[in-house]
Amino acid sequence: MSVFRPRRPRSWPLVAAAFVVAPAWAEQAPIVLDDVVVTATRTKTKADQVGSSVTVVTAEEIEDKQITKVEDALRTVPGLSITRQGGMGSTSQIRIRGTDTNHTLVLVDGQRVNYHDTMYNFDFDWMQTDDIERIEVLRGPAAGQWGSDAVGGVVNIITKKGKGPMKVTALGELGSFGTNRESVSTSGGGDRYDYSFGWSRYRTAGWSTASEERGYGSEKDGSQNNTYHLKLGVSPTDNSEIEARYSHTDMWSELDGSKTPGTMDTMRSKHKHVDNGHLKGTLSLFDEAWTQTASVSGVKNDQWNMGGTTTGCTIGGPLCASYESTTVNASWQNDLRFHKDHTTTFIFEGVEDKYRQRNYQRPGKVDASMTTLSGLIQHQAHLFDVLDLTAGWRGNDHEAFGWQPTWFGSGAWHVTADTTLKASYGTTFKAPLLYQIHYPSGNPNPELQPEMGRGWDVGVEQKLLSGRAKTGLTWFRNDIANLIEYNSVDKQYQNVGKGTTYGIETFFNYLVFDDGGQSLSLNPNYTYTRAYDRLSGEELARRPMHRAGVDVNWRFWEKRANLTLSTVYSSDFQENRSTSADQPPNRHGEYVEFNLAGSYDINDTVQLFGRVENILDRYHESAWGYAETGGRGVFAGVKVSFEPARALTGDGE
Amino acid sequence: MTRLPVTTRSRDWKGAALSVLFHALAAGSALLAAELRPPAETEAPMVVELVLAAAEPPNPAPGLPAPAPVSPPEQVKSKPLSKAQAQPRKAAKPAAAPMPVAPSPQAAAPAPAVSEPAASEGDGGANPSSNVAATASGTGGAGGTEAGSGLPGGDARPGYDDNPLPSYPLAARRRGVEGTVSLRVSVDVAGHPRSVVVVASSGSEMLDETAQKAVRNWRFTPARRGGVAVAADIIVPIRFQLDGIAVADAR
Repeated sequence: MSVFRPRRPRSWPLVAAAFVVAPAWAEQAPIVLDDVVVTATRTKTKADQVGSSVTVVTAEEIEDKQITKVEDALRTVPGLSITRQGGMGSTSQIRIRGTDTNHTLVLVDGQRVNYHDTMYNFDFDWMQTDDIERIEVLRGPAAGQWGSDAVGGVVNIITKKGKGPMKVTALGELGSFGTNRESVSTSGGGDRYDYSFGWSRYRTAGWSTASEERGYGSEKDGSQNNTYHLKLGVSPTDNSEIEARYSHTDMWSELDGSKTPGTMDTMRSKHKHVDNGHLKGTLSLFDEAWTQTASVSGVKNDQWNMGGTTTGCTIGGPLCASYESTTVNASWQNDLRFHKDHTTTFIFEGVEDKYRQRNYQRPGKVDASMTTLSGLIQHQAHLFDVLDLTAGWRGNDHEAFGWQPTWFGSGAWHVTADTTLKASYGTTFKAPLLYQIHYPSGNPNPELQPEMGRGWDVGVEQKLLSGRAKTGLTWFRNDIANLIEYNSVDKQYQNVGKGTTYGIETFFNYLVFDDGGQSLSLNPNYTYTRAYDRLSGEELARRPMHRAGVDVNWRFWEKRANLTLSTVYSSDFQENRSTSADQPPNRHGEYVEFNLAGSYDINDTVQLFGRVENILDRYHESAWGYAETGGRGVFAGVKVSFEPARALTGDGE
Repeated sequence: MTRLPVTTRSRDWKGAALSVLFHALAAGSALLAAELRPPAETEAPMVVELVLAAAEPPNPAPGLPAPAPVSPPEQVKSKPLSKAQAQPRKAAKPAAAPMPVAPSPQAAAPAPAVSEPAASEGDGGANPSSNVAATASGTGGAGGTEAGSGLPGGDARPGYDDNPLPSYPLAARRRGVEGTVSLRVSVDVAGHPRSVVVVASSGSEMLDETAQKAVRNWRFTPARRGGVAVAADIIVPIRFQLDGIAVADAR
């Protein structure tokens, strides 16, 4: 039985006194040897070392562009397209590389937050950005290591972790469309603990979701969101950590109804309580040779819709329907690093999804659950100092759909210090949503099968101008069998057959100059996407063929001032909603939007900021009849951040 | 045909998951003690990419700034220690033998010219010499720089021998704790550290202790005066730094 020894340092000064007996060298001041540098990555895999396509959106970029909603932070990421059916708080979905909206797995701090919803996984409507440290977007089939849902890719949202002396930040903003936004947060930490907690709110009167441009409506649809978040970490020993996170979002948004064609003004609204959190313990043993992480996490979406709908509830009537979705996840991960260039990972994981739906003015209800148990084995190797290889296999035992193994492999070959070739291949599966299985009768549709995918990509990344610029080009393709789509004739979800998506992603990140006082950077990117049904040859709905974006960031006045011009272009796409009473669906949705954001740091404590959204005042929509913009909007605010300890002592004034 | 699941299984499953979780943590705690005293043969920390100053350039410019921090998301990849560079490590070993009568010629031969220490005051590791970094491959042991050679008249500065780097403590890594700690080490004639004292803290007690603990187990090439090994005090600056953005946080 081993015993814990107290880890107090021994009394070295005494020992030193005994031994420094002044031989020749010791008479002089001690000799300073060269620095010994101990480095480590914050986490295990460096961005350059993965064979998959990864884009990281940092808190700094989010702050520079003054982005308040997560989906807007993803608009300029290559390979992604965003659909929002209205203004802030409206249903927001992303598609990665032309795959469907429910083919994206969303993680918060590495923990699954997808839940079974009414229409699609995953809806970003409730997510604000104040608490985000960075967003990692992993595209391509290697995402299969995360199991079901990750057909197109993974969006991993990393929340802020406290560090250093206690810091308090408060923010207030006012702007167009009757919008106000406030947030307060506090964070800090030491060697063995960290904390971060806060509150964020916005309220907006909005604009009419039913497009005023198209004459469908004019009544404004507002939204309100209150989010509370807390993250704590403690390390009982140097080699361990226990982390807990919890967030609660209380939001509502007014909705408009759909009709054929288009949309109509209604007094409907949706209300949501979203609870989300995790408890995670990490322990590293044998000098980091074995690191294990045990975690439990959960997300609960409690939603109810008020007022009439076009699908069965009385206009002006009270409670229409309620939805309760719960996902609980438990995992035990073991990273074995027998050699510094080789890591083998074993993960045991279980996910339980529950979904309940009640309709109060019409028949039909859903009450179902699904459990998936999974095991994963993966090996990462760094060979000959130029090759990074990852391969893995994941066995999924799905309660309803049985044994669904997937596997994946990726490689990055660093041909020179500046050139990297990348490739990945993988298989994926996506279990139908409980909602899809039960729609519309409430009884399960026994014909529905999981979607099975496989995909690959190859690409090259090149650094230029001694690292100030980096460009990349990736060719991707996904083939998905048993693709599930809504069949409006049979009025149910069906496996329509085979879907194929392919295309090219390119980016060019360029730091034009940085002389300490000023800097200028830009990062144009362009994505070409084709997505079609291989049986009918028809284009899949709402996949724009061309998407481009660029952020131009200029810092000046000793970098106390910042201007960011952000541009997004999206070509038109095939609509699956009827666009007129006597015509089949057609193409629409092309838009270009310019946003300008600027800030000025008056001093270390106070910052003024402001932005103009949709400078050109142009209308756009990503679903027929749903106004995604209310026109040009102007916003301004002030942010105060300080360290209470310094403020009290007057230090640093 | 597939059948839809019933909800009743869920309870058992949750219990099992929790049980697994707690057993994992319990098993982990039991093993914790073992970790506190790692076996002597434990391989060097795998996570650490060892970067060690191999040799100073011939004429280090005083006041040359320390290497710029790695800017995310790009990573500066350290070059591995080449065969030729690795040679001196082995060659230096004989010099570590207690009380050598004369400086070992093998040790002196392949050594690059070592300039006089640019700064002799231990002022917190502000080593002005530029850091020609080399990564030790293989075992990850701190490559022995043969600083203990090269001075005229059989005099030699003390230097690093083949030493394992401290591992970056998980707790510090997760919180982004970085810093440079300077240790004053009294090296005896055999190259053993007799005392290791923090003279300039990194700002983090955890990093200070980690460095101290590692250096206590280090071996040095002793200083020599007139060809005879002598005891000496040296300052060892150890810098803990984290790379930029890494991805795949979960896996």
